[in-house]
Amino acid sequence: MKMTVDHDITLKMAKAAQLRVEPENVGQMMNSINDILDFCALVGDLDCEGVPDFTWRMKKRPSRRPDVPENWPDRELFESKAPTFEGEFFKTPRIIAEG
Amino acid sequence: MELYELSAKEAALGVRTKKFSAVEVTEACLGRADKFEGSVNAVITMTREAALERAREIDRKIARGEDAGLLAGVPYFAKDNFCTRGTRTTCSSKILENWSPTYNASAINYMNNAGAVMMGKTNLDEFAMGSSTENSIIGPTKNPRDLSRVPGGSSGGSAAAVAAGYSPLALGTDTGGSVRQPACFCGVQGMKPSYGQVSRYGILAYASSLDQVSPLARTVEDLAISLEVLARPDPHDTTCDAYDRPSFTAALSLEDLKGKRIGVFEGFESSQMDADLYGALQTAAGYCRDAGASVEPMDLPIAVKYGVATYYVTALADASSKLACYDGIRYGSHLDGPTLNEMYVNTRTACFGEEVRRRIILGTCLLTEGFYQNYYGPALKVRQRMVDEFDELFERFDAYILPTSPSLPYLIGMKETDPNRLYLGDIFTVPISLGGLPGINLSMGFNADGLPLSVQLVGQRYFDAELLGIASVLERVMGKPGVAEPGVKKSTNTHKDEGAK
Repeated sequence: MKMTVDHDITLKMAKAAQLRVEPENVGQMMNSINDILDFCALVGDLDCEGVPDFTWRMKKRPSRRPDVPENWPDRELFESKAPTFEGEFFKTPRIIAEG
Repeated sequence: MELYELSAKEAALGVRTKKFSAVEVTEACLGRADKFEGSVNAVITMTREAALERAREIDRKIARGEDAGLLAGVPYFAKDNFCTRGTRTTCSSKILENWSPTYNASAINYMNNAGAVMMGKTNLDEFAMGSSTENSIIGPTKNPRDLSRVPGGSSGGSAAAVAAGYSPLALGTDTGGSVRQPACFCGVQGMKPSYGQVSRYGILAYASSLDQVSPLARTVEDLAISLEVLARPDPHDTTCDAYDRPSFTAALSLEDLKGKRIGVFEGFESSQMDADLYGALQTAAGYCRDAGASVEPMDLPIAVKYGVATYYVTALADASSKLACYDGIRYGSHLDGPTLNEMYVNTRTACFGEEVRRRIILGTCLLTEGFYQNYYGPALKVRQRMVDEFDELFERFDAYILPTSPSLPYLIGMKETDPNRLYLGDIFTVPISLGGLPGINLSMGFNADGLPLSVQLVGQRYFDAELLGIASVLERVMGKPGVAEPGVKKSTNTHKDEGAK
């Protein structure tokens, strides 16, 4: 079944994706999403009654790695990659907004 | 012949037998990049000093009489979505603009262990989302065969580097045609192996259920050597199959196509594609016949009609969940915000490009209640029907040929504003990716305007070695692509005219 998004759903999707769409761009984004949803609705047209969901088949599944501690690069190296780091922690803003 | 014109096999042999040194080959390729990079723009990060030091290390190893590996002293480039320890890995995105990973992708380790010399990281569409290598933080890469045109994408930088003679080999990733299509546009050979053949560990994913590490080269033999090095089980990637691989290079001993059943794809109107590319497909069919194959027409009605839609639903859903890891906290770029959520939003909005943002929002939409039931769920079932269609096909054929792209390389900027047209450019490559099949772009020469012509050869999943064997027979007739002279000389009609061996 073909579906579309409206102005509000476009904003809701952007929020769920942790992205912002500026008010002047919402219409363009909405139209672009609807164009692609319109095209992709084709997937509902093929008779797939009784067809299982696709999963990859393998010749031989890889064995699991031994469950033993591994030496990763230095902790300091990881810390140095973090954009904001303080003391022993990744620095983040407050999780819950005030008020 | 200049050192930069050598194939990987010739370069490694020359280095191992001390005909020339790894440093000399590396310097020749660096010189080539110095000469043309200002006009081609294929490389995001050149690792000049590290490459020369690595080449010296290979030469010292050989001087000590040690085995320097199958790719001893062979220069190569890696697309900038392979993690390279200590070397910037940007994915052509502002969000990773200054990030250097703490570990190597398995493919990079395998290339290093085989003695190859990494020269740098090549341009791509941001997070491999695109078909033209125009959406990048460093700007568009230009096609070395015609600088006014795109090199294809998303592995356009790797394809351009091989075509322009910066290196005989390059690594790319192919999700829905991202190696085969740029190989087609730049007139080189490119192979997407079967899904599960090569480890994806350390690849910055676009769509994990489709991405596959894929080599580009100027000879089929170099593709086979690359797979010999790259295709192996990897406990770090649970989608990398643990089966014992056959020898990919041994398969090249195939002398002709006697007894082989080759399908020629006829499930489209010739008016739907460029006339020269349609002609190339018919010529390739003739070559198969001349080599002794039985050649029959074939069709893939489900794959062609539903392939692109299924691909985009699958890939966008994959991408939206995979790219959620870029949050500006643990690595990558970061923009402040008063709350955690606002920091995420500020960082991701400012640092992802427009196309990436659009695909993430679309993918998020496809995975939400209602859209999932009407799009993602059906796409999973259509994909299974496509796999069934391929299975039936390979009961009748050993391989089949079809175009790689419906169009010749287009002018830079020409298609960027029309995403739907860009998507349809993938019509012949995405079904192969959805089925996990191996596919090779075989370069066939050039049209009257000097633009590359090619054909795509597709085989059964895990029959990569057999496919390389068939490709090598056809390459003997078609010739091997030579090195392009960007902005200097138009490529000529056949590879043999170019003086390529």
